[in-house]
Amino acid sequence: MTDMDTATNQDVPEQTAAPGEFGVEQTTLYMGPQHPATHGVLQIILTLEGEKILRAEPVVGFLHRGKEKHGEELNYTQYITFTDRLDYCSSMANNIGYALAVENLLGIECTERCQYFRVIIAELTRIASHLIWLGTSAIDLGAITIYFYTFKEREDIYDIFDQITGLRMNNMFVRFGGMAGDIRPDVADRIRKFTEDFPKTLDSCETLLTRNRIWWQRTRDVAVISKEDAIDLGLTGPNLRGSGVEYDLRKNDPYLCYDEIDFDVPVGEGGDAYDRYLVRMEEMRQSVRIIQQAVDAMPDGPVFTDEARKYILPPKNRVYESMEELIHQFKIVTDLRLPTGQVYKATEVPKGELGFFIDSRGGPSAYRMRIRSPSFTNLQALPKMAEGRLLADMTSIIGSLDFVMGEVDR
Amino acid sequence: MTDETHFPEGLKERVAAVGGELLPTQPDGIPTARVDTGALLDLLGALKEGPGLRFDMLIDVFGIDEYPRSPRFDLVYHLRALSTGEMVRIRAFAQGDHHAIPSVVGLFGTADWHEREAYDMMGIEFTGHPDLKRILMPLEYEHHPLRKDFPLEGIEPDRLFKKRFPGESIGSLHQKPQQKGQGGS
Repeated sequence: MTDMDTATNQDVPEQTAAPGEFGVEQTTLYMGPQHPATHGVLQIILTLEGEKILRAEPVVGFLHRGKEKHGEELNYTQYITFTDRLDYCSSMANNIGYALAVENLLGIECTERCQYFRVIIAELTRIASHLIWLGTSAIDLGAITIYFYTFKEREDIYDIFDQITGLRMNNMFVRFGGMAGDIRPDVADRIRKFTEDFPKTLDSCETLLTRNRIWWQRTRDVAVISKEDAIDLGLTGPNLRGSGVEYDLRKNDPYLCYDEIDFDVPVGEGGDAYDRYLVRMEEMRQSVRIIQQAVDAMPDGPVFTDEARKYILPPKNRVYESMEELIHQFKIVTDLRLPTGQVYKATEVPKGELGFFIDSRGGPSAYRMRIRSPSFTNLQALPKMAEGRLLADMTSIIGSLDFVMGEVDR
Repeated sequence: MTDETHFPEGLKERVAAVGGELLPTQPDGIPTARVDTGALLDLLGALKEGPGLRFDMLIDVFGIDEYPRSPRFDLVYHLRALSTGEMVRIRAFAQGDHHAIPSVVGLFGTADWHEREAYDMMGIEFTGHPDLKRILMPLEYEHHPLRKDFPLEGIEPDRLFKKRFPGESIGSLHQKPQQKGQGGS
């Protein structure tokens, strides 16, 4: 092998080079669906010229479970469990989005305490999801240490979830009109303690990455997506904000009690992987701010609205004692009917805009259940980001897009 | 439940200009308009560029199966104005035996995968789409699963399997081969 053949970053051929110019034949490489860097079952068909990517075509659908079809068969309460498993890194954020859509259809609004409760949960979920992204995308680029820091903190969050809901993952804790239980004072203290400790870990991670020369080379000017392209491709969440578009549903179309909370929306400039990294890091700090405010401002009171009693299962002990409650439970399990109408409700989940469109025609299940998943739409940007880059940048690109195949394939 | 709908600036005029009609507002309060299939591109183009509020992001494209009514497929386009966060919903029917509707990929690049999904799941033909092929189901799949006449359990679910592995059945993989001489019940 001569010196000419060993390509370094400086020798990257310009994008304008025509195929075959360097006397290298085009090869087709099937990356995935079982590749460790694809974070799930994603296949990418790469057309390569040497190490340079000419075309990248994502092939999705390996995890298709027919969630939208199931939404037309199962009743509304059963379907909450299905939303858990969309983006399994941020289960309860999905629950909240779905519950808000159904509550919109029912015309009820949850109590103030419940709104703060949901905000705390949603932001904890955001931190947990971003931590998974940080750990895995860093380990893909060779920074192994980060992984152990982030997964320790993530486990802390899951312990908090465990204390609140009884489950680490796929919690299924959100109900229409409220939550399945209240938040205990000792758990609130634990969340407070977490918000005090967590920024220190984040600082350690930043010391390892933000000014790290290798991290710079692997992420700066890699996977660039311009502002116009980002809007055209429908990117949402940190991927859109990394390109310099200040757009966050928590600010632009506020839901729950986000308009009463003071927080900033970080926005990038260049739209490369490094900018998206900075945006997500800052988002975690902002989430900590939100949680601290929400825990302090959380009012006393019921966590369930009385209006929602019609639509949820009664407490089990009352079912055993009262005939009316037994009939009520039976009716809900067998024949829960919602008002007719169409609703679309979008929430800002860690990956972007998650929207649920429900077309209810008065039956026990939705006539049409549409899930607008952020990962599916964000993944469309992959071919544009990969074109003209080196094969080794692929892990950078995949890591910086932060998608979950459970949500892409539904 | 439906309060006074808030119509974004210049929406009514743009809908009226292409002969569309405003539909009654749904519980979510998003203004909804129905247009003829032929005027769809004109309206979406006008909504994207203005005059008035620019709806610059296409959020979602999907179909609703009105089986057995005809026209069968009702397409829904969700657009959002990034500057204000306001949304608008445009609806149009797919026409003809092939359930054809013009593709909007030229206006919004994001429609590419959404339209492929609608084709995959419901069999709606988007005319002018650069690469209309299945996206979630295998390429050689023959049905459109989200149609109302498609059962949840599937139609011949092991057909693909048989095509790839002739002479075998899915069940046979799970059963241990029974050997002679070993006592069974």
